[in-house]
Amino acid sequence: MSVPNTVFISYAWESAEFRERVKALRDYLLASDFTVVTDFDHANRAPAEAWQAWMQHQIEDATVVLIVCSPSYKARFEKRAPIGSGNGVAWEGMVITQDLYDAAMFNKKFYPIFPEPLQFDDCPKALRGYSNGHSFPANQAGIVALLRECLGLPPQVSAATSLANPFQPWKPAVGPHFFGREDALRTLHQALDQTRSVSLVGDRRIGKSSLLQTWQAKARLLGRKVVLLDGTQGEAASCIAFAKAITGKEIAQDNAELAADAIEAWAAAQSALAPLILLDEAEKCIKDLPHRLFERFRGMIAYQKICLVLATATPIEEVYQGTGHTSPIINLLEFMRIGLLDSAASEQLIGLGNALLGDTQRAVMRNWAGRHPYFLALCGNRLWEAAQHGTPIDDVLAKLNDEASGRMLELWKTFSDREKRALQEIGQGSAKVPDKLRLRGVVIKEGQHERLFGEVLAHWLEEQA
Amino acid sequence: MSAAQMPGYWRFLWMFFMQPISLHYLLLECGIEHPGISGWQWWREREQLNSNHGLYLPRLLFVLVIVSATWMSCAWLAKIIFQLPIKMDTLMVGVAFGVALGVAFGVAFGLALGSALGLALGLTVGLQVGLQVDTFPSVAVGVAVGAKFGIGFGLVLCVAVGVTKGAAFGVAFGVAFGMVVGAASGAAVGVPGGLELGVAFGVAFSVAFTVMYFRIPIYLFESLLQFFIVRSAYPARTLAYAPILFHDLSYFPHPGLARHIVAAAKTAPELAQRVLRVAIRAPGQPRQAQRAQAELAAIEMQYLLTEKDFGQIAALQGFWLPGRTSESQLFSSIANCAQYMQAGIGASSAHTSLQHFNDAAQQLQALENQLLTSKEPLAPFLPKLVKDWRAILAEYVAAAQIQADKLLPNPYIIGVPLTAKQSSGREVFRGRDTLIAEVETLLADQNNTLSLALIGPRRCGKSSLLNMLRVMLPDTIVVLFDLQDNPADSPENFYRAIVRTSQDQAWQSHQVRLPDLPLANASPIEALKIWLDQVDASLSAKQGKAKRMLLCIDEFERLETLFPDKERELLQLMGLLRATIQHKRHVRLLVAGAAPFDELGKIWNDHFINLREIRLGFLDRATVCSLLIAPIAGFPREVISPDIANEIFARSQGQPFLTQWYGYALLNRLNRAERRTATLEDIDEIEPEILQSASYYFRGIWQEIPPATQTALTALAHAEQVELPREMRRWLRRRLLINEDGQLYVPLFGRWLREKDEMA
Repeated sequence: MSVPNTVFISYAWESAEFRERVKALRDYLLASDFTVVTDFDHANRAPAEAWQAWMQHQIEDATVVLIVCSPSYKARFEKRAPIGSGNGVAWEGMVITQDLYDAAMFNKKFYPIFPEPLQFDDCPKALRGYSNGHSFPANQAGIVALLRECLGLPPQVSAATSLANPFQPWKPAVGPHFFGREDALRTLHQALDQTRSVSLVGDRRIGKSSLLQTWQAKARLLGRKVVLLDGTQGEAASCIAFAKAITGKEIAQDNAELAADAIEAWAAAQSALAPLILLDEAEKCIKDLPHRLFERFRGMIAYQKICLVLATATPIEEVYQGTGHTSPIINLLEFMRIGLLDSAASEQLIGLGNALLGDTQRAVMRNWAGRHPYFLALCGNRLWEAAQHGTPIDDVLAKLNDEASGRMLELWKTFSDREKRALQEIGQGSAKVPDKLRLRGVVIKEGQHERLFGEVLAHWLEEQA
Repeated sequence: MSAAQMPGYWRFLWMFFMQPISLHYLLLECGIEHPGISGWQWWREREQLNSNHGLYLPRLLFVLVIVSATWMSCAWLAKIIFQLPIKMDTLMVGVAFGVALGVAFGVAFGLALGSALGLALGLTVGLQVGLQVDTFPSVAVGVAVGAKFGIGFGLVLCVAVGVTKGAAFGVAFGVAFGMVVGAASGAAVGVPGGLELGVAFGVAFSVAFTVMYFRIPIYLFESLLQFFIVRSAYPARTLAYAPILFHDLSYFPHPGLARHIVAAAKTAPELAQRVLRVAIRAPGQPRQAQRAQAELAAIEMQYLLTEKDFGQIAALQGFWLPGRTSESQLFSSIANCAQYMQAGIGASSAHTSLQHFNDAAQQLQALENQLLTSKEPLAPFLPKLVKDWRAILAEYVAAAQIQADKLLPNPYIIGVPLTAKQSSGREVFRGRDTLIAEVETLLADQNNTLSLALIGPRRCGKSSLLNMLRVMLPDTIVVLFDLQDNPADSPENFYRAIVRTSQDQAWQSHQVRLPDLPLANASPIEALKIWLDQVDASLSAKQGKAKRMLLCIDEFERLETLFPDKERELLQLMGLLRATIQHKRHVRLLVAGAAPFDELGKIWNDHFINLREIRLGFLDRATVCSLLIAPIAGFPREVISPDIANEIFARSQGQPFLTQWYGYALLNRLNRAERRTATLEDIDEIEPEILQSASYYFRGIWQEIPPATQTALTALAHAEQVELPREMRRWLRRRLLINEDGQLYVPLFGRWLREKDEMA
C-alpha cells in the first residue's frame, strides 16, 4: 500500500563500508522526520512478496526516489555489468527507466545523489539531467532541502535549522547512537552463556543505561527472555511492584517470599534458557526492598535459575553501607566497571554531528568532554544548537561549564579526600593519582603522565580553587 | 467503548437464524455481556448498561415482527394455492398471541429466549388455531400439530439455548418436552383416541424437533456443496463460498473443510483465518479447524526453518503460530529447541555454540519421543520438520566445529557452583575424592548415627561438593536445601519447603515418592518430626536403590537469622535436628557453612554435639596442576605447561574459585590472541582482569574480617613483620587467610590488599 511522502533509496551494494554509509544517510533522514524505505528494513527477513515485487512496489509507491550513484550502480543500471552481478539494481533501473519513459521524461520523482567525494561520472546517463549534485554525508543538508521541496513541506530559514539534533545527553544512547563498549558487551555475553550474574559499576551518566538497553536488545536476539527494570521508576516501591515488573503478574501481599516465589516460578516458565534480569539504578532496589528478597536471589543465581545484571554507581558493598546488612549475593557476582569510551567510539559519537559541526566544533568536543559519553553528548547538543542559531563558541562553552557544574559537584562528593587532593594537584605531578580514578574514567593516562578526562573537570576545579 | 458495531436490522435477522454463534460473539464484542438478559433486568440496570443494549432490543422485536409477517404471508399463499382450510382472522389472532407471549417471556426470562419462544408459539399456536381442526382425524391432527410445533420450536430454541447451553441440553429438553406434553395432553383430552393423539403428538414433536435442532436438511445441502467446492482448482476462490461462512450452527463435520482451508491459506491467508475462526466455534467443525490450524502452523515453521529464522520459531510468532502462551507440549518443545539454536548461533564462542547445539539435539530427540505418543493435532505434521531440523543442525554443528577446532575449549566454570549438569562440571570438579569417600563411609556405617558438618571458607567449593554428592553417592537420596533458595517467612512455610524440596529431589534422582507433611492436629514442628519418622521408616522398608536420605542444609548459619523473633521455634527446630542426628538410621543430616561450630553461639554447641566436622580446604598442588594441564579429556597438553600450572598454584594456593578463574582467563586470552601455548607473561597480563572481575570475592572476605585483623592483614600484604595474637592467628588460619608461618596464604589476595590500600 502506498504511504504518502515516502522516500525510497535505491543503491548498489558496493561494499560493507559503502552500505554503512547509505545506512547512516537513511538514519539521518529518519532522524529528520522523513519516512524512508530501504532494504535495511528487511535485513533479517525477505519481503513476503519477494524482492522483485517489493522493489517495484517501493519505486512505484514512493513520492521521491533517491538514487545513490556509484560505479556499480551505473554499470548495473545501464546493463553493462556482467550478468548475475547485482540483479537488484538492474531490475530497479528497468522500473525507473520505464517510469521516466512513460512520463515522457518529465521527472519530479527520481533524483541522483552522490557519496562523497563526489564523482559525477557515476551517474547513469539517463539521470544526469536531473542532478543538482547533492552529496552526503558532509553536505547531506542539501538532500534534506531537496526532499522538503519535493514533498511540499513548508520552506525553512536554512537547511540546518530543520535538522534533528543527533546529540541527546538525557536519553540512553541506543541503536545507531550507541558506540563502543565491545569489551563490556563481550563480558556480558560470556557471563550470559555461563548463566553468571554481573555487577556493572560505573559513575552516574557514564553510560550504564545505554549499555543495559543495548545488551537487552542483543540478548533478545540470542533467544533469551530479558527484563529491564529501573530502580527509580517505581519498581523498588514494594515487593508487589518489583515482582510485577518482572513477571507481569501481581502477587497477593507485599511479601519478599511471595515475590521471590513468583519470580522463581516465572523464571522456570521461561523455557529452556535462564532469563536475564537487568536492574538499572539498583541502589534503590537494594535499599528499599526487603533484604530477604535478595537472599532468595542468591539461591536463584547460585542454581542458575536466573541471570542478573545489577547496575550501580558504586560497588555493591558500598551500596549496602548503612543498611545494617551485607549483600547476600556479592560473592556470586562478577565485577565489571565501565569508564570512558575508547577513542574510536568517542570519535564515532562526535561524528554524529558531521552534518552541521565542523572541525573546530569537533575539536572543542574532544577537548572539553574528552571521551566521556555524557559530556560529549551534552557538548555536541549545545554546539549543534549554537550552529543552528549562529551562537559563538565561547558563549556555548560558558553555558556548558555552568550547566556541568551541578554534575561535577555530584561527582566530587563521591571522591575520597585522597582522590580530591590528587585531582587538585594533578597538573603539578606532585601526587600519585589513585588507580581508581583512572578506572572510573576521571583521569586518563597519556604516556607517563596523567591528566583529567576533559576540560570540563579542569575548569570546574579551577573555579572551585 | 467497544470497537465492534451492532449489526443492522436485516443482518441481525440473518445472523439470528443462520449465524447465531457469530452473533453471540459479536454481541459480546459489542458489550452485551448477557445476550439472554431479561427485559426486567434490562429495565432495572438500563443506566449501567452499555449503550448497545438500546440497539439490541429493537432488533429482537424486528425479528419477531418480520418473521411473524412472513409466516402470515406464507400461510395466506398456502391457503390460496393449496386451498387449505385456514381461517385468516383466527390465524392473525394466534400469531398476535404468540408475539405477545414472546414479549412477555422476554420481559420475564430473557430477551433472546423470549423472542425464540414467541416465534415458536406464534408460528405454531397461531397456525393450529387458524386450522380447521374438526375437519381432520384426531391422530393426524396430533401428528401435524406435533411436527409443526416441533419444527418451530426446534428451529428457534437452538438459537437461544443451543448456542450457550449445548446440543445435549437442547435435544434432551426438546424430546422430553415433546413426550411429556404429548402424553399429558393425550390424557387430558380424555376422549377416545386421546392417548394415541398425545403419543403421536410427542413422537412427531420429538422427531421434528431433533431434525430441526440439528438442522439436518441444511447440513445435507452444506456437505454436498463443500464436497464439490473443495475439489476446485482455485481453492482460495471457492473457500469464500464455504457453507460454514454462511451458516455456523452446523453440528456435523463438513467433508474436506480442513484440506480446503490449508489449500487456500497460501494465497488467501486472511480468508482462511476467517473460516478457521468460524469453524473453531461451530459445534461440528472444531476438529477440522484444529487440524487445519496445526498443518498451517507446521508449514509456517517449516518455512521459518528453511529461512533459519529461529527467533520467530522460539517466540512462536507468525501468521499461524500461537505465541508462547500456547499450552501445547509440542509447541513448547519446538520453541525450546529454537531457543537453543538461537543461543548457539549467537554464542560468544564456538565451543559454547557446540554446547547449545548439543542441547538443541537433545531437545529434538525429546520431541521425537513425544511424537510417538502425542495426541495433539500438530503431531502428524512434525516428523518432516524434525528431520529437516536435524539436517540444518548438522550444518551448524559442522561449521561451529571448524571454528571450535581453531580455538581452545574453555571448560573452566567461574562464579557458580559446579554441577553434573554443566557440560564440563564433572571433569573440572577435582581433588575431593578422599572427602567424598569419607562421607560415603560415614553414611554406610549403620552403627554410626553421626551427622556431618562441612565447614570451609567462602568459595572453596562447598556447594559444588554438595552438588556432586548427588551423583557420587548413588544409593543415597541427597537433598540439597539452601536456606536462601526457599521461603522462610514462617516456621510452617520453612518446613513445608524442606518437605517439598525433599520430595522433588527424591523423585528426580531415585523416583522415590516421599510422604507429604502431615497437617492434621499437629504443630508445624510436630508435623516435621512425624514426617522425618515416616521417611526413616519408609526408607528402611525399601529394598530399592535408595538406602538413605542425606538432608544437606547449605549456609546453615543463616538458620539463626531466619527466625529472628521466634527463639522458641529455632530451639524446637534445633532439638528436632539433634534428634534426627541421634535416632534416625536412614535419614542423615549434613550442614554446610563457613563458620566453625565452636565460634557460633551456645545454641549450636548444645544441639550439634554428635556431629562430625569435615573441613574443606584448598586444592593441593597436584590437583591444581592436573586441572590446569588436562581439564577435560582431549585437551591439548601443550597449552598449559607444568611450569605455568605451578606458577598459578603459587599465586592462588589452590583456592578453587581463583584456580578456575586463572584457567578461564588464561584460555580466553590465548583464544583472543590465537595462540595455543601460555607463557608466564600471560599470567601477569590476566591477573589485573582477575583482580577486577573477582573483586567481590576479595571484598566479601574483607567485609567479614574484624577491623583489628584487617589492619594486621594489610601489614602482612605489605610484607611487614606482624606479631599476630594467638586468637587472631587461629581465626585467620581457620579461614585459610594465613599459612602455618603466619604469612598471607594466597598471594593474589595480598596483591588485592595492596592495590586496595593504594586506591584508598
